[in-house]
Order: sequence, then C-alpha cells, then structure tokens
Amino acid sequence: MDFEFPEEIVSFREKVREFAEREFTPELARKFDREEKYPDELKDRVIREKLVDPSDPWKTLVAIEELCRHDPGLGISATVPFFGEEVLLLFGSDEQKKKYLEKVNNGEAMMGLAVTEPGGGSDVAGIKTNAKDMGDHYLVNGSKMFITNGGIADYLVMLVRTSEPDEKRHHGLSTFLVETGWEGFKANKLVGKLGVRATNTAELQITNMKVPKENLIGEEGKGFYYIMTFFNISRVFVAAQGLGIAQGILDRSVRFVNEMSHEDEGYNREQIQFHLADIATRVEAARNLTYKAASFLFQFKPDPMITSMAKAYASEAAVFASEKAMEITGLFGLTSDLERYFRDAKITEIWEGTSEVERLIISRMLRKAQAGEQ
Amino acid sequence: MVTEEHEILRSTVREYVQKTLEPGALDIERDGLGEEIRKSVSAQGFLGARISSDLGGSDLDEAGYLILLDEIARASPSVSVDIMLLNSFFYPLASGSDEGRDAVKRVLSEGKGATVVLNTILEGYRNEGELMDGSSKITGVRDNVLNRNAAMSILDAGNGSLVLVDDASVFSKKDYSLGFRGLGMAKMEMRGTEFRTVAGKGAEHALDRAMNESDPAVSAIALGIISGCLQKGIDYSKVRKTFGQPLSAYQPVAFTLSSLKAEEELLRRTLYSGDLGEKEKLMLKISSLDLAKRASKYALQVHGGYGYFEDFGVEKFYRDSTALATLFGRSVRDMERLSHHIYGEKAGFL
Repeated sequence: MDFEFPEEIVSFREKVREFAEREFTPELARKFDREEKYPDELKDRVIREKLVDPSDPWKTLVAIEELCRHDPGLGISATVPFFGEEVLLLFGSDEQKKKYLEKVNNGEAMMGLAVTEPGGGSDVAGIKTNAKDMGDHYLVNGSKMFITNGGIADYLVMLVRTSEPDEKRHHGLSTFLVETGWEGFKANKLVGKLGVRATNTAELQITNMKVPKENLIGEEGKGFYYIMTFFNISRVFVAAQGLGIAQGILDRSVRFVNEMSHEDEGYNREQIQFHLADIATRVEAARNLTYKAASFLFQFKPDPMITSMAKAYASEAAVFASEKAMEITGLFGLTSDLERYFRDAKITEIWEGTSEVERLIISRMLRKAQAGEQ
Repeated sequence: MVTEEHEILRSTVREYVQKTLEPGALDIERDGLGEEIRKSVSAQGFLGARISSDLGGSDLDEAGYLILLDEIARASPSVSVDIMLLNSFFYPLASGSDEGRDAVKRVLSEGKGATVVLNTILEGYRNEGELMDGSSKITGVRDNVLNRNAAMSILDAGNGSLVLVDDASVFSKKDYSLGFRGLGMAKMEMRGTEFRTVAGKGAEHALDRAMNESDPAVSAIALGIISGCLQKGIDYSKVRKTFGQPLSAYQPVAFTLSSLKAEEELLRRTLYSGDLGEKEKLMLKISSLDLAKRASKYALQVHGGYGYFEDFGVEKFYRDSTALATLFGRSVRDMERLSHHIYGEKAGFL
C-alpha cells in the first residue's frame, strides 16, 4: 500500500496551491461572498491555466481540495462549470458530446444539473417535472429548485418524468440535455444563502419547453440510474470539498494559535491543543476515505458504500472543524475569514445527498453484502 | 419562581413578538436593528426591562426579565441581545456615577442602543494598541465591538477605569460578522474623542463581574434560540414529505428533535426554578449554549436546502448560537470557573 501520489499529481497540487495563494485573496473572497456574485473571471483563469481538467479525475479532485482549502466559495465556484457533464460523458451520444462538451471543456459554455424540485430533495424518484412525447420533440413542464449554476449555465442535464411510474417509482424517468436559451425556460436567482454565496443557485420554471428528440441522453426511462451513477461520482468530489474546507480551517487555526501563544500562555494549554488535534485527526481520516472512494471510482469500480462514507464523513469533518475553530479563535473568528468557512461548510452536509441519505446507503450496502455472503 | 403575573407578561411579550417582531425579523437580519424597532421595543417598556423606574426603566424582577429575553430571542436573537447589553452590562456598569445614570436615562428616553466593549475580557481578542487616557479625551482602537449603532459605549480605557463615550461616530463601517447581524460588529476608532469616567480603578474586574452576573440572561437567550429553531424544525417535519411520508415519520428526525426538545424543557425548568446559586447559573449557561449550537444545527439540517436560505429563518439561529457562545460564554474561562466550583479549589490551570 502506497499513500503517496505520483510526482505528476504532487507537482500539479503545488501549481494549484500557488494559483490559489496568488488569486484567492481574502478581499476577493469577501467581495464575492457579500455581493453573492459568481466570479466569472476567476473561473476563466482556472480553465485557462488548466487547473480543472475533466479528462483527468485525480487532478480534478486535487484541484477541488486545494481550491476549497484556500476559499470554499471561490473554490467551488471555480470548479463547478463542468457540473453534470459526467452524465453526458457516460451516457450521451457522440453527437451530443461533440456539440456540447467541447464548448464546456474549453470554457466557452457552462453546465449544470437540474434534478431537485420544490417538493423533493432526497426523494429523487418523486420528481414531477414531466415531458410529453410530441413525435419529433418532447414538451416539458415543471419546476426545479436549488439548481447550482441554474442562472448562468448554458446547458443543463435535466431529469424529467417521461412516463407514469409502474410498480417502481424510479421507473419512467429520463435525462435531457437542455439549452437554457430555449423558449419556455426561465431561471430566478436565489439569494440569501448562508454560505457558498459566490456560487449561483436558481429555481427554474419550465413552461411548454420543446426539447428535440436528439437531446434525450441515453435511453428513455433510464434517467434515474444515470443520475444515481452521477451521484456516485459527484459525492466523491463533494467529499473533496469537505476535506479541503476542513484542511483550510485547520491551517488557519494552527496559525492563529501559534501567533497568539506568544501573547497569551492560555493558547499553549491542553484545551486548545486538543481541539487542534481533533480537527487534524478528522482531516486525515477524511482524506483517507475520500482518496479510497476516488481510487475505486477512477478505476471504474465504484463502491457506493465507501463513497457515501467519504461524503458523509468529510462533510461532517468540515462542519466539526468550523465549530471547533470558532471555539479556538473566539472573538477573532467571528469577523475573520473563518466565519465564512463556518457558513460554507454546512452545505456539504446537505447537497448531493444529505448525511442522512448517505447513512441509509451505507446501512443498505452493509446488509446487502452480508445477505450475499449467506 | 414564575408567578401568574409572569405568565401574563409572557403572553404580552409573545403577542408583541408575533405581531411586530416576527414579521420584520428577516429585515432586522438584512438591514440591522433600525431606530423604528428599538423605539417600538422601548415603547413596550421592554428596552429598559431591568432598569429602575427612576431612570425610566420597567424595574422587572429577574424572572420577568428572563422571560422577556427568552420570548424575544425566539424571533430575533439580535433584539434580545440588544436588550441584554443595556440591562445586564451597560446599566450595572454605568449606574455607579451620575454621568452614567444620565446616560442610561437618555438611552431609554431616546430609544437608543448602548454597548459595552467586552473585548478585553474575551478569548481571541487581539489588542491593537492600548487606549490613551488624557484628561478628557481618548485615542485608540477597539476591534470587533458588538452593536455598531450604539449611541453610547462603555469601555475599559486601559488605565483601569471604565469610561463612557457618547459618540456614535466612533464606529467604522460595518464588519461582516457571523452572528447578531441585527446589531453588527465594527471597529471603534477614537481620535481625541471626549469621554466621561463612570468607574475608577478595577475596570477589568467590573467587566468580569458583569459577564458572570449575566449568566442567567445568556441562558434565557440561548433557550429562546433553542425554542425558536426547534419549533421551526418540528413544524417543518410535520408538513414536509419525502418518500411519501412526512419527515416526522422517520426515526432519526422524530427522535433527535424530541431529545433536543426534552433537553430544552429541562433547562428551561431549571432557569425558572428561582433559587439558583452561582454554580447552578453557570452550569445552566454552559449547557444552554451547547444545546443552542446542537439544536440550531439540527433544525437547519431538517430543513435541507431550504434551511440554507435566510427566508426560512433557521440559518440565523445557527449563526447566532455560535456568536452567543463566543461573545458571552467564554469556553476556557467558564470551564475554569466551573472546575473551581466542582473541585472547591482552583483546577485546570496548568
């Protein structure tokens, strides 16, 4: 067993770190957080410098971790333009990939994934947005909620119901590639988020939107499986977000304690030292789980149980670190960059499957494995 | 002990909160606690709840004061902390001098806010230079001061005395703070600013004493936060369906919310039991602050994506519970105090 990355990834991480240290200034992070504005130029620079390369998943994972370490809001914003493209990569036709992915990968266009609806988050099979087969096209009606990039994406992978469910609720769902410029598509930006305020979040209204037949991704009725496959990928990347956030909090907390310990002996006492040790231990555990989940996934043998463990653990490590950091830094923390990390960390326990959903998956897989052995 | 009169007061405050504060709670978070709200709180006699009537206050007893803070914090922790800053900090520190008492009168009659700069006795405070105490003017900086719109401030001048600064312009532009956005935190910059001394030597001890004596008030606000967020969580879990069933049908949701509610009720009964000693008050504060953080985090989680948006009024409790613990519950100092009570001697000091 080797816990070291190959030299190529080590030097790539260095490159990302240098970029983040140079570009992710506290002033910039604060500005986009307060204004709830997406950092377009920063995203363009990340793509121009090839810091996020969808064709290389290890590099993407390391970039997400390092960028979130330096600032979660900017880090997630800069790495999210490709969000959802894996569905197209895995299940799309060659024509679809050529038409859409080239533009997304070179930064000309942005993507997003539209699954969640106002009445259902965790219950993906319960979605109500529907598509009627009109012969040469589908007619789509419905609404979507909390859609990342919803107000700025050029293309969205959208999950819709194309037929009534039979005995299984998740049957009859399909995925479409939707262009946001089409008639009948409307996005309203949602404001007032607790954190990750540099990312764009929107609710979508879809009214009699015509979707050409050639924009059906894969087979009709298989959408639920495609989205679940996607979540098995995206959850590893959310684990990397949590890991990066927790590491960034640890960096700042250790720095603060070292600086303060010169003025106040209290910072050398066990209460503070143990907080640091507890955060650091969770960071390392989250790192090992995240890399293990990634290793399985990137070798095309994903393990949903390990993925869910990584996603739940790393996101909870980030929230734990954010809370402990507030205890360590006291008054300073309330107005420092750490207050932003505190607000940003919480979303990782919610999006791409809540911690509760991850626990359901873990226990289901455990029982399945045990039943299979008998 | 809570009497029938206290229950009448609770109903009055609750009605005011529901009719007046709750509808504007989101605006308080977004725009700050405006003069209009403060005047409205003052007109009800809530602003000077614990202040003696000869200074224009309502002279409530402790149970009445705690009920007030508890009920108001359920809708707006910022408003509740505003009242506590005046009644549990500014008033006791100011009332020892004629200048101080005049200041309290003015704050009440004009419906203004007041603050006490607690930084020097809080953890994580980075001193940016001592204040210089001239004969009547003061120069220096105090960072991260809560209640940036305060008309009057009391602070440790750095020479052992407590001084009153009657000048709202000393606050710089708003700092973006994690909690109590209705009050805001800001840097206080004094450049030859006039002051009046309200207490002689021993400023740090006076601040420390005010902090310790505020334990029940802090508990009441923490319990208000707990009640506010758990009620939202319970209400939401009854109506929000997933996989065809309300969230309340699922064990993790129902059991967790029920356990948190049970802890809340036990703490609230203790708070209003009426015969608490210093040790019990401290224990109650430590437990209430801890529960406020856990309850608000879980209430947000139950709401899922909706909880992450300010419109649902849950995320503010998550931020404010941490801010309350940081500003009024000193994690090391309070544990040292508690250990001293438990051991009967100094403990945990190495």
